[in-house]
Amino acid sequence: MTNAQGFISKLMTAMERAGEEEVISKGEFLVKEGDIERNLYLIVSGAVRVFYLSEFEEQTVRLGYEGSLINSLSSFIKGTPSEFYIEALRKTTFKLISRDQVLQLANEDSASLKQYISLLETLVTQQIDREIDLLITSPSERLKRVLERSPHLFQHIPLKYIASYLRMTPETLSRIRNS
Amino acid sequence: MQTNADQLIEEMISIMERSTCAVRKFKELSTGQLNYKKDPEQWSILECIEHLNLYGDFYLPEIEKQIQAHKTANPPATFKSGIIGNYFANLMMVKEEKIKKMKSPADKNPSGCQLSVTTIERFLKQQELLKLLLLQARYVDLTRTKAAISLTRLIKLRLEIRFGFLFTILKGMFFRRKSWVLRIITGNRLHPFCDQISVGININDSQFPFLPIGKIDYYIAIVCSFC
Repeated sequence: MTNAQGFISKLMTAMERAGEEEVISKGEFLVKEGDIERNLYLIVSGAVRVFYLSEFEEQTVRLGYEGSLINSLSSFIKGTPSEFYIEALRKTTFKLISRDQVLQLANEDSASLKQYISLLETLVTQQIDREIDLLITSPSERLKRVLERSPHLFQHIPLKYIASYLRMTPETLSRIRNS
Repeated sequence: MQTNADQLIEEMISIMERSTCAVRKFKELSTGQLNYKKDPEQWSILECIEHLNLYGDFYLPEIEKQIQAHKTANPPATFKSGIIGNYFANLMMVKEEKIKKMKSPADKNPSGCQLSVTTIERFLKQQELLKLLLLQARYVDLTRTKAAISLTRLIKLRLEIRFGFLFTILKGMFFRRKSWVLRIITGNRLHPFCDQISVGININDSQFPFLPIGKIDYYIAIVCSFC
């Protein structure tokens, strides 16, 4: 088990122990633009997407489903208003843990702190992977990379949101999937 | 002439500020209220706003392109007529696309629950962008007299075209009996440029179940911001 996974399982244990499950229905928001994100969410069932709203469209930047840990990360870290929305794509059950509790877990002992740092490092590299995704011109290459990371994406998330995540039209996505 | 352009821009900015304020207030309404329709033929508040957003999707990049073009030192001599030609062509294109877009969700989903509060947010963002563009337009005016003149003409032309366009929308709405939108647009407290289409509708009409009469002004302001 890597250090990062170690901290994730700590987080999950804490959430299982502490929290009651909460439910939101399709179209409802966990976080809206301008809110301050104070929690980290564990998706128990259902699916969510994180999106950025521009003048012209909703750009999906992250997807979450059963087992995902998700939140509006920069707001969570900096305590600044969220730039993103998190919307339930269908009825979604989740648990949450507050930022204070996360930090408390991280500061329990030096091993935990190491694990926490390792988790942050993982997040940084994931973010770079995502950046590369967006720089790749070929749509099929973009899809391939994402499926390597999340092989079961299509079982959890409607196609049009995956298309938005990959910055392509749903038509393009279904064409390259079928070819 | 330059003064005219300045005044026009000032006026548009102040109208926009009012409308931004107005639309922000919609956020206080519940999702049910935002999606409310008196009958399936009518549009909900969100559908109306989304309708304007769809136009913004087209107009804003277009306006931006033109302002950017006028910032370059030597715009090609034939540029102007080119823009106008394209503009008309695009206008027709967008219109068709637009009608298609609005029709299908309405058919599939008469309750309109596909639209959420992000529709309002998107509108507000478009307003911000439009304001920014108007501010830039003024800057171009003040610093380049030559550009200022053609820009003035462009804006006037744009307004005329927009009115032409507005008529088209009105007609479309009329045929589809989107009567309350029609009433908003043709309300008697309209932007002076809209006088030609003002028909003096009674704004106390009870088409607006959730909004006290004073808020009709807001509705008018929203639409005016796109006039």
